Amino acid sequence: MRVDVKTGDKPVILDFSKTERPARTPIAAAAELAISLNEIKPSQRTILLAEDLWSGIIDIDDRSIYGLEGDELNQMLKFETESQSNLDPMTGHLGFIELSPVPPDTRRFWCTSIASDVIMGIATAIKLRGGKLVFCAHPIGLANPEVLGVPWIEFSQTLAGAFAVGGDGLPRASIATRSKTSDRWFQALEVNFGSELPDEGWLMMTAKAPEKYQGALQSLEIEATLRRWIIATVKRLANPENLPVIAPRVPQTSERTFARIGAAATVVVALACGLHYSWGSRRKFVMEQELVELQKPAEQQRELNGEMELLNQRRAELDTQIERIEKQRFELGLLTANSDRFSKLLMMIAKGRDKSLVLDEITVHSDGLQLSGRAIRSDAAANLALHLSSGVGELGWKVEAPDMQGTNKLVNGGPWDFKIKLIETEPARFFRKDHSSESVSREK
Amino acid sequence: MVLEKSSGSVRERWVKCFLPAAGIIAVYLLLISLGQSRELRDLGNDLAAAKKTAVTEDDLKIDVQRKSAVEQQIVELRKQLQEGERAVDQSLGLFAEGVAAGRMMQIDQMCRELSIGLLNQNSTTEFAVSDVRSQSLKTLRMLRQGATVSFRQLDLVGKYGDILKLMHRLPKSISGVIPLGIEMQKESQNYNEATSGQRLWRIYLLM
Repeated sequence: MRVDVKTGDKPVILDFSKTERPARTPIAAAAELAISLNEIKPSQRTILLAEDLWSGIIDIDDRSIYGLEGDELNQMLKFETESQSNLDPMTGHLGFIELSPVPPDTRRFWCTSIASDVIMGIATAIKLRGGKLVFCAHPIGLANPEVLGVPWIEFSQTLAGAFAVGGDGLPRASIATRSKTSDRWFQALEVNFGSELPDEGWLMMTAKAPEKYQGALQSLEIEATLRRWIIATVKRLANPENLPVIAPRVPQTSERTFARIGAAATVVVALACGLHYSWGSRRKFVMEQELVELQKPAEQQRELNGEMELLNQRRAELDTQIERIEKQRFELGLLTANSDRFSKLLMMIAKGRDKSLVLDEITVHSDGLQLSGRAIRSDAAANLALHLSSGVGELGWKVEAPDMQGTNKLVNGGPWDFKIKLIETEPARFFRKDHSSESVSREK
Repeated sequence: MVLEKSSGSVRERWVKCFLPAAGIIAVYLLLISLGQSRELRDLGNDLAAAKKTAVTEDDLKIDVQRKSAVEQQIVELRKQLQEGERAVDQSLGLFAEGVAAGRMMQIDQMCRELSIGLLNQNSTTEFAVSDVRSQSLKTLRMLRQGATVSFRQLDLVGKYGDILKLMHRLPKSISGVIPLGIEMQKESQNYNEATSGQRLWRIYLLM
């Protein structure tokens, strides 16, 4: 029988096909026959259920396996089940789960075993068809008919089993090999289960219910029941660690495979190193470029600063030259500007002179000119000085207060001899007006 | 004693399988990747430092504008310098025009026109000008590159008004003649009708 199932929270049977298994067909050939029931390639998670596997319960004194676990316990169980399964402990494959212990010091295991060549044959047959065997299991005890926690019973052609899962602690199970000659197996089944046998259960295909059993059995001969059993089985097989399943041994990797993997790893690593180096070089190149790009403006700025320095020097030189030339211009201007100032001075003296004042002498001194004379009135010289001071400033003189001395020839002490000094003024003061006028004319 | 070189275990086979790859990785890491990583780290640091002190385009534009402004200033300063030099040359040109004898002839002619008597005329290289103008004379001497700046002392006799006219006309009519000083001497004791209103004058000219 082949069933294709879509797994998940609610498993769905996609395809269901079955045919009679020819008598004495090896299990591998039967698996191949089942695969060929439809054209679909078997799944990569193919599970094989067959009554050909040995499945049974074994009790072991706790002291004899104290401290054993994993592979050591598995090996121990192989030896313990050898007498019942007739499988070589060295080559057989065994799957087991631990059940509720039997007080006071007995541990109970539910074991399923198969010969290694048989499971390899099955795995090969499935692999040849494009699938992959995940594990093998005996169909007994895989599916409870109702809700979790309710015990159930199963009868197959060769085995009878009673099971209880869920609740606290380990599951309980009792499996007995059916005998046609005696019903002691039924008593053993009940005794080993530890309580009364469940009232409901499965009746496997081609199996008959024992006469002593009074409960209700659902026959898998009925297709609807069979489908229900399949769905329940699929649900439980979703957690295979709670069932005695046997996974095929992973074939040992050959030297050639190692060599290929090694070569591939070497090539991949070399490529990765090359790529990493290339990436690093590229990154370095990009960073260098970025650095150059970042430094370019700085270089340009340095060049500009250099040029600016030269330009500033040139400007400073020009400033100095201009200062020198302006000074020369100023000095020459001082000579040439107001060149008729003496005529203007004479004009101002003539206009400002009182009739009672006589100008006797004009003399040149190192600091300017001196006007000397006589006056009948005491204020005539001061008036002249006052008159001059209003105009000669523009011509480059500053008028000092007159020195006067009375000759005491008249009743009022006069006439008076006077001296008025015209002091050359500072060039800046003299030149400012002239210079600004030139600036104005230049702007024009 | 025989040393067991190989246990043939699966682990050993896997180790052997990946040994060349591990070797390549080790060699690459030690000889290439470490150096490259160091270079990249250094470059990264340089880059970060360069980014911190990076000169932006705006900075460059500002510098270019500043440079342009300075160049413009230099152009203006050159122009100003040329104008100053031109003005100085123009001033110097006044003193270079003509010859002293010609100028004296013109002065003599002008005195006669104004009824001014020219009593004496003396040439001198030194004249005690005021401190204010002595620097100007030094500059003039320097600019004329050692050429002698001559002073002229003229003793005149004339009326006040005529001398005023002379002092007005001299610098305007005769280029290169600049009056530097004027003296009017006291009236002499031998006063007569012929010399009534006339005084002795001494003027100093720069020629």
